[in-house]
Amino acid sequence: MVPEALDKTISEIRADLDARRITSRELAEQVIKAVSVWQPCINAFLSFDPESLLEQADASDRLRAQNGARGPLEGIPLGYKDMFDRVGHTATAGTVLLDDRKPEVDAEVIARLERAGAIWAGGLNMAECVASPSGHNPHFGAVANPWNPEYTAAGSSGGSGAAVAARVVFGALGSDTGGSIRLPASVNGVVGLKPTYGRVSRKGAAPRAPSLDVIGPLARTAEDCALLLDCIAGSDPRDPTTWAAPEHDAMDLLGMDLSGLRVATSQTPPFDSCEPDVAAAHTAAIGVIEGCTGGVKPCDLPKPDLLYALADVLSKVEAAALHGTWMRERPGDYSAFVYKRTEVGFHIPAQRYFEACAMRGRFLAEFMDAVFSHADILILPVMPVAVPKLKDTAADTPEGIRRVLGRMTALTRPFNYLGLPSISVPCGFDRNGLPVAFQLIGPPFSEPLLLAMAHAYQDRTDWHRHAPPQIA
Amino acid sequence: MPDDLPAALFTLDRVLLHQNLSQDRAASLADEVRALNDPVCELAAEKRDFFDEPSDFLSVLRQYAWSPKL
Repeated sequence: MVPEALDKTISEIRADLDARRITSRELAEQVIKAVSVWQPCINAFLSFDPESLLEQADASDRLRAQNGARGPLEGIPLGYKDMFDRVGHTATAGTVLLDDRKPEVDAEVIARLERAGAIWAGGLNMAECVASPSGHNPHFGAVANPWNPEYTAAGSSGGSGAAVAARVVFGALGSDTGGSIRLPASVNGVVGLKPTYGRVSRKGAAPRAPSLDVIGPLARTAEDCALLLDCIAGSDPRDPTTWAAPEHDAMDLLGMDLSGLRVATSQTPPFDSCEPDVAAAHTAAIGVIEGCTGGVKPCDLPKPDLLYALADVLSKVEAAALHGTWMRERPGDYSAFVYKRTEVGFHIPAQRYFEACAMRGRFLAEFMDAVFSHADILILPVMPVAVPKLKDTAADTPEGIRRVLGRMTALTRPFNYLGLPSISVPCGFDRNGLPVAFQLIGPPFSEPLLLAMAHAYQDRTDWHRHAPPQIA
Repeated sequence: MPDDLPAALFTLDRVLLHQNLSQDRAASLADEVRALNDPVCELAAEKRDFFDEPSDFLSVLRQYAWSPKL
């Protein structure tokens, strides 16, 4: 059995803390115990300091007693993908290249969550250099899936997905360049939100491809993701891609009327090539969504494979530019996988990069007209295949990378090119007992709508209440 | 240095990175580059007009910003 307090959502444990039914110290003690059990099995943490967690919890309890809660996350233990600056901590970004880096300012998202009262359990394992969905890390070891450690927790935010699923943190930060929030959320059976490009500040976060990178939350419910998003979203003068958009709090809109909502799905390639068990879970989810909206209709998606190629050009070239000096001077500090994956970017002609940038707005406009002129939300599977075993994602040849990892990201990467928000929501299990998820994609800055739809789905289903088998 | 890649490929970055590149890796790298380059090249030829202004992605993103129908 999962300890009762740790099985609660952020919203539930917040109510317990507010009502003094539990203290942050008691919560931290349970987290420490749970991590001691889970960490040897799933390797979700890169840094975990029990003393620091207890100190933060005690400070939170004192603050709450003296002045009340600082914000909605007061005293709640969270984790973060180990790529965000925190003063006094070295973020690895999954590599040894940053060992000497000493951040002097907190990443914006870290600072915002601390202002909301969050306390940190620690830095979570991730792909080397934010570069892979495989779940492997040659420097720190793979993250194993808590549902079955033979299977991948995916990536690049694998530790975030695994830790939230294992109930050792209540929520976590991740980043998504081609699927790196949605894939770990999907394979670990939690909710993961990739916000619109520019919704959340990346200042102080290690980059992979700055024109695609976004930061977002993973948690067990859409409601918890809404709460976390409201804490981290908004403009930041230190990240000029962020926008002072008309802010609509996702929590306020969580119960919006969805009865007239028009939902689209695709039956065209590659979206029609799911494995049968994945397709069955997806079809069942569509049935639930049909029941609480104005209906789900098929649509043709414009050029998903080309959108994938365009995203790949941006990703490879930008990563090569970021890593060129290190790759020349410290090639031994890269795995063969990441080195080979990145070096392609040195050979993409500048014309292609310019074209991929120059056509991006035009393709977004075409996509909006083709899909969102007659639908409010698009629903697709996150991954067309069952969760792979870790041994099957250990590709280090270009052919292996394309075969296994290309398939994993086929349905996620196109939406990074378009900059659109997408949320991954658990909707069943595959033939091996590993989680399956769908994703909801919406117009720019429609996170409140996606979260409301996901929340309505979770109101009618209990997939998010399933927990991985507990370790004795 | 592999001798079957065009000399024009060897800018400073690439020479330094690839001075020990094997023939096999050079061939597979060329395949990977083509796989990324060619579809975008074809797409641009089909889609882009000489007089097209490059689109401002962030502006387009904001132009389509969702708002709740309250």
